[in-house]
Amino acid sequence: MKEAASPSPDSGEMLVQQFLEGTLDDEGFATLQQELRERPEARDRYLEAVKLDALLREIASGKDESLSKIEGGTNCPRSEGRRTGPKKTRWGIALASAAVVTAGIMVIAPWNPRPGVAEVTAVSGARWVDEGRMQGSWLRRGDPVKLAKGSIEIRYRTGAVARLHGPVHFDVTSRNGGFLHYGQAWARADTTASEGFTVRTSSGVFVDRGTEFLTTAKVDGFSQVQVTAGAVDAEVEGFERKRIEKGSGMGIEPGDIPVMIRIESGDETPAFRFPTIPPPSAGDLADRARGETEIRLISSDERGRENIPHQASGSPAVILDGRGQSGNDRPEESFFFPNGATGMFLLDLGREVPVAKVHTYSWHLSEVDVGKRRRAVQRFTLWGAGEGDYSGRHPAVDPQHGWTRIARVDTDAFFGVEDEPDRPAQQACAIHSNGLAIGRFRYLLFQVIPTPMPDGLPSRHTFFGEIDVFSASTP
Amino acid sequence: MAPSPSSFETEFDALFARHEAAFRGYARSLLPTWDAVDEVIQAASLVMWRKLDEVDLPEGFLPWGKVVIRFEAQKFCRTRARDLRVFDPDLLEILVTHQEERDEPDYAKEQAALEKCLAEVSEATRRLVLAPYEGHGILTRLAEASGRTRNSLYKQIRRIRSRLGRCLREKMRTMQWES
Repeated sequence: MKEAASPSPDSGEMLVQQFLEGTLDDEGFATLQQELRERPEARDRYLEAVKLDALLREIASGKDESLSKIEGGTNCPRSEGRRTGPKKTRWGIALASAAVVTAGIMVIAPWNPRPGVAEVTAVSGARWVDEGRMQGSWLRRGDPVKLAKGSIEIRYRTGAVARLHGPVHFDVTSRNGGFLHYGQAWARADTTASEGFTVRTSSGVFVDRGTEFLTTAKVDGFSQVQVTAGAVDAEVEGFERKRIEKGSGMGIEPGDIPVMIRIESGDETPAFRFPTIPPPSAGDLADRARGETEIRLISSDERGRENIPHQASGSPAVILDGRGQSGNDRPEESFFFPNGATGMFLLDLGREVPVAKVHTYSWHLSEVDVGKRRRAVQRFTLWGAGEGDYSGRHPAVDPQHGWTRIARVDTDAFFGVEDEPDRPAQQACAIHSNGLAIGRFRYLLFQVIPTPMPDGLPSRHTFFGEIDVFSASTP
Repeated sequence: MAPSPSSFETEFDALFARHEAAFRGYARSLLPTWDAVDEVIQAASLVMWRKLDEVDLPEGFLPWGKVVIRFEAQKFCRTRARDLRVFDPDLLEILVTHQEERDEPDYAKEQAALEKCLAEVSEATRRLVLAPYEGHGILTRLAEASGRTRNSLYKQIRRIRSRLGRCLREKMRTMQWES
């Protein structure tokens, strides 16, 4: 009898891959079976490939099961593999059957529909948008939580805990994660099984690496994450994956060119040292020594109120002098607006350039109100306009105004500030894209919003110490 | 309000959740599609639930669960052999025996190791290799968007999987050596 030639390892591997993909024909399947029967090394290879397939599937599934919704489909084909059909009711069906099958030998208990992947462990002051969730109820994959106000805590079987604060819409999309449409979700994932807990928003994916983190999402696609313990990996379309460590945060402005906003707290010395954001630079495009950038105050705000610096503020030029403040309470070395009003200033770069990064720095630890860091907060919206786009009009999302909204920054939100001690005294914000230009701009407009104060005090403005602008060609 | 789960239910849920990924991987090695895996796991979980008091918990749950899955997979293959391409009964036995002889590491560790491997590749590569698991038609859309054929994408994915497989083995060897 003529002996069949053994398939080469490569062709054997191909058969296995095609089997797993669902693209193997009858002849190939027969060959695969024969090989698996006869060759232990082929069985090893097959089992390794199956294991890899299962692990990848688990990672894809655990990471985000909401993708099919986003992509517009809900069912998957046999050949393309995700869990299909009745996964939401899989357990319900199984247990309902269990009750029937075992009816003859055990008392039928009033079965709770089979628990899903997360239990509601606390509900506080909740006003529900649609279906209410009671404490002790279970959420399955795909179940939404929509709160108009109040908060809810859910505990996943993996041990991850998520607290959702209304108004919020959060979908439980996997056994270890969810999709935040809007609102705030605080998460703690400190068990082995919960490692990799994932919160997805429309503009980013935030994956736990043993941590606590707060994710915020707005309906217009803006999202941000703030890490209070451990680290989080952020995945954003068009960016390399980025690890965010404890005490840092990141925001994402969606758009044709997504913009990343990184916030860090500094060492509270005149050296302005931050974990990853460099200290103030004298080598940037907007530095006063280059003589190319002019700083101007917009004469009035949207309501016609005069737009002037605070009487104790330093000259606007201090933010382009290549250094931050020399101490923690130096109004004369800072630029800031009067209490209460919105302030606006414009950087005219002199020509249209591809702007790659903007860094802003602030420092304030009051020597009068000891321990207060009210002017360290950075709250502003950064707008950009090209050479021919600037019409002198106030910025608005409406493109007819000629402005592009580059980024919205609120460092208190990043640091999760609820009380004064939470707020770092020295802060830096880096606004950038993935090594590319955010856009071509000549004008950068900072619309600065004051920080609300407790006890009826007028809201206070940021002590800006330095602003650096880098083009794609500056280091 | 529905009654809260009993401690029995809770214990079963916790054990099953802990080992579900390993169960699914094991079932996949015996079955032709992930849909088949879903079906078998559902049936097997029912059996496990009914017979949970027959096993020493928690250590015995995983090996016992695999035995249950093996029987359910055999049953599935017998009943579906006419309409689905399934492994022959003798090959199922061979695969089961072969797996029993292998020293299988902890599934969670392997998953962690694979995550590390994925962290070492570019974002585009990671997205591509996970794409087949992320819904109907993703590969077709990716192919259309990139002006390539599905076949060429499959070829690229196979190469990435090969690389990941090597990386996984290497990582597991290192972890074993370190421990």
